[in-house]
Amino acid sequence: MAEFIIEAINLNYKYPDGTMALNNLSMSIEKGKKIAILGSNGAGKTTLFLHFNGILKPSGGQIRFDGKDVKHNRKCIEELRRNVGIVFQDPDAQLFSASVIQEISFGPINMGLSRDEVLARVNQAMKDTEIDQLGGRPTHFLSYGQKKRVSIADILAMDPEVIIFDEPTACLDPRLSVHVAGLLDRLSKKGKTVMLSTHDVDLAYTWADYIFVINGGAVSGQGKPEDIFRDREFLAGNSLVRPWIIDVFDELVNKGLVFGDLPAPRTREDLLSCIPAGERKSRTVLKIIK
Amino acid sequence: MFQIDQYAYTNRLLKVHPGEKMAFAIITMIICLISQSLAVMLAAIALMAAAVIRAGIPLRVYIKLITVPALFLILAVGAVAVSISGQGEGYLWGIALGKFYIGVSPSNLYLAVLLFCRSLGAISCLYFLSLTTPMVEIISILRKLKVPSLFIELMGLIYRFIFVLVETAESIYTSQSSRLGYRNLKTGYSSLGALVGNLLISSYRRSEILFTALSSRGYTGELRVLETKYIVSGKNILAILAIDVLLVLLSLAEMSGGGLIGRIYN
Repeated sequence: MAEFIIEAINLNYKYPDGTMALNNLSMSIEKGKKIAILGSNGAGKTTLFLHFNGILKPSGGQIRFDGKDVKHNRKCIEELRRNVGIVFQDPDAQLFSASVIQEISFGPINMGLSRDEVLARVNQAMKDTEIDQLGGRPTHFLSYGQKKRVSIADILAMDPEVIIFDEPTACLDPRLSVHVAGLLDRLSKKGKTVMLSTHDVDLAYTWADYIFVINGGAVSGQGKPEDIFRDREFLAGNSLVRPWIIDVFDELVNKGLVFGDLPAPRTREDLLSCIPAGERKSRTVLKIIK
Repeated sequence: MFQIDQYAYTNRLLKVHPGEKMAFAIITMIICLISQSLAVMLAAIALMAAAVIRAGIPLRVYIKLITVPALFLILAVGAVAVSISGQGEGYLWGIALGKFYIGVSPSNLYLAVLLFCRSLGAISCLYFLSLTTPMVEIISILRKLKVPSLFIELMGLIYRFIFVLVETAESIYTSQSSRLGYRNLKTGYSSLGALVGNLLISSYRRSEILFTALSSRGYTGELRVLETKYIVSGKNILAILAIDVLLVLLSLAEMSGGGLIGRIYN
């Protein structure tokens, strides 16, 4: 049986104004997996994440971490926050210090580590996010992409079991998106459970091991990426579009260029390699055929 | 203001222990404020200017920066220099207005010059500090001096969020003016009102998100962070001591000798 690191069981959350943000939501996150959470704006993704970290207390239902029920007392919450880190969407809202090093040191210091240990972790986190040149710079001189990486280093320095990224690639240029995606992969290889919310179906399809789709505060679908994204009816019902890789692959199958019984490719490289070599015809021949 | 901040992070004295820079600026400032000697004040102004130049800040920039408070000071001490009296004797310059004379007497002029130099000296000290020492380090020195943590944390947060606030205001302003929000005085007023109101709301929202983000990293009411370690330089401390002791001695000598201007005047 699979080992679940975080579970949400029949989670309900009502905002003070009466809106139901989470509606009997249940979700089990397998340890060490790469999880993508899809859902339109306001579907409840961020609210769910704040439950996983003990910031919000559910109006009903239960969060379970590593098989144990999370109780809303100080000790339990501290333990949870040590183990589950969230990288927020807007780095400007997360970074509180004008000094990059002090900013990153905040989490590990709160964990009660020694000065040397904190310093070692800060340096490692800066290396992992490739911002080791920025230690002496004040945060307000950094570009958006640099601030984003500082906000990721903030969490890496705490070395949590589970790392949650709220829309990690939003507003990043393609090069940085690739960089962040690579970082997510490396974290996963180290054995961390990595979760992210995104609107980028291509990223979710290529990157994730498992996908949850949230709609109206509940899980409307879950499964492996290839299953989720080939179900046209489900996608339409949840306002999701198909990843371009699947579109191209299905078109190739339809046109008889690729056998339909092949597993759907997950990456650009997989897709390109399944396209068979055709007979090379010169332009003049093509014209004559026309 | 942002220019000062930029130099604070890029100047040549950045690596010097912030405590040394702070001690130099504050002690010199106190001497300058207490001393009655014009020579000491002029020396402080010159010393700080030299230190700022040593830090690699262009003279042109420094002159521009110091001109701003200097202009204010001239206006302010102008009122001290001018006096009204019944008889016009002893005025260096004056005009008669009916029975009264308005003019500048030597003693008032001396007072005005003293006030001007004392203020400018104190300002130079603070300029030296803010041009060579990043705010983050000033704050960490204050923390070492056991200033209450509430005060320290507020200082740090305010400093960080000044930049966020200005950025937000700039983007709102740009989006408003791109839609003709500042086309004329009337639209300008209403746009400015909306900008300020929006800024307040967005700051409040941001503070909520910040609190959430801090909590998720284990915030329990105190912002504890790693302090950078600096190398204390004995040479610098000796130099600071020597300079400031010299200033104090000069000040004492002047006091017994009647002062530089005093002697010239006599």
